[in-house]
Amino acid sequence: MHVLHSGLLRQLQKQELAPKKACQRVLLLISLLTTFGVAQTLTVFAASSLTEAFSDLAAAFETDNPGVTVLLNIAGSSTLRTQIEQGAPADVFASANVFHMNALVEADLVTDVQLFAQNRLVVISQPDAGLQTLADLAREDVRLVVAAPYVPAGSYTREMLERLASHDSQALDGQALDSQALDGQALVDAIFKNVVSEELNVRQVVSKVQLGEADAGVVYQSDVRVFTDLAVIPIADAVNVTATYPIAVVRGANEGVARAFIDFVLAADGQQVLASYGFLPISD
Amino acid sequence: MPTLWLLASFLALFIALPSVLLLSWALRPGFVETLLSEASLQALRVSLVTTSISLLVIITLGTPLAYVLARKRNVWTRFLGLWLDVPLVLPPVVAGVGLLLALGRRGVLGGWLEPLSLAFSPTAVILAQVFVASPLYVRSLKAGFASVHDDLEASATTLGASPWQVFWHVTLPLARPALVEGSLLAWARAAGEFGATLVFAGNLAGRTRTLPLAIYTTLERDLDSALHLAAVQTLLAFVFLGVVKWLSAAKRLQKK
Repeated sequence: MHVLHSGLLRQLQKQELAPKKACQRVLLLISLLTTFGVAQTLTVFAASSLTEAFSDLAAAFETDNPGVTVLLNIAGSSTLRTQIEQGAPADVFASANVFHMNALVEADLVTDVQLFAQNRLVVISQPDAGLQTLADLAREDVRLVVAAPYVPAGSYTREMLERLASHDSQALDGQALDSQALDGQALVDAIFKNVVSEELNVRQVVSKVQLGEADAGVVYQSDVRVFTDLAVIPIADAVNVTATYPIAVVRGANEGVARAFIDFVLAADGQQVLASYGFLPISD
Repeated sequence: MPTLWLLASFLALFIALPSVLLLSWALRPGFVETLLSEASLQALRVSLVTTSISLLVIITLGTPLAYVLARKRNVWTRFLGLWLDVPLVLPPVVAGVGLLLALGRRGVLGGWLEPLSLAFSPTAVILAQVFVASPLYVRSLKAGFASVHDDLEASATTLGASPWQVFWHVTLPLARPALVEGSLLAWARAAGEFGATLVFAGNLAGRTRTLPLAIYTTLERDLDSALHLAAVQTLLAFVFLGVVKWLSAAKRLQKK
């Protein structure tokens, strides 16, 4: 901008343009700069599990759109929803579940909701905790950390455990329950008893396990791509749940840039970034 | 003069307004229901039990420490005094991480403490509270001990009192106002403890979820209830500080 400006000045001096014409040129310059969005900021509120993927997406979007600065506000989806309800200045909201997004749609605070990614749950544990299967989480000495019920990861975890409660050993591909194991409901009751903390976003679950304070935690498979030093216990498809991530334009947003960012996330390149972190594409 | 009043009122209003608004939530409909709900009674119970035990620990261990710091004044105790004030200005999250490094399962002392299974226990909540709140008690009581003249203790000794008798019957009673003030401040600080608890002790209803953690957790789903609980917390803070003010005013009257 500075270069353009001094160039224009020099031209003005050299050609000694009539004041009226000079004025027109300056106006043209100003309108050009505004159209191309010099120093525009886009504030994106994104769920904790999206931390790395959205950092990459934001950086790529900034490269493609010079002059646009993307500000990321990362927290649990429930926290972000509360912030938007309280009037936080967001342009885009990416939630880890549909529930919090729908609440904002009903309050007419967001518009143009689209689904952009899916995720699955896994159990992470300290490699030396000796946990192999989902059923091991019911062992008496296990300290299990989950996300709070209102946090998407927490509601998916409860949904998954409810499904586990209604399943018998066969349905789990033989991976979770052995012959002496408890029936589903008793198993799940025992697992719930081992919950020592309810965290307010999924990354706090990860950090409690990483620190070794907790033996195990239920998180997303995408989190495991980032934190590779943890043992991963897969959850059988029969009981696992699919997390669905919606994204939307926040009312009162910088709409053009907000829509451009959402299109970017949904386009092939954006989807590639998400896939590289273990997110799944939206299946129809 | 009016200009001075105007200027002075800016910061005063800024500081007073939020707590006035928080307190006003105690008058809103639904306050009693929230207060009597299972979740808030649980949180109040956890807060009451943990802060009471914390206070006992702080008084038991903080009193001798304050005495040593007040009576043995040399380079080392001054340095130690500075060191002990650090938790006062440490961000709570940092305090929590520091506690993890020391007492966490992988911490320096973690191996020895493992049989106590501290992680995610109410004991961990108490440790977090003691860590952040005891400096207030020690500071206050240290000043209290320092204001007791040496010659009073010396004359008690010449009259045949043992060092213990001097401490119990002369020094401690004279430092009592400082002890009470320090206790109340430490209790208030412990009751407001949040970050270190969240990091070090976790967040589980009925076990480690104190009132501040309950407010934080409720904020996620129910703003009104969270604000009702916040009003309770603000009210408690006012009561603590009010008693401290009242006691020091009473002390001043006594001196006159």
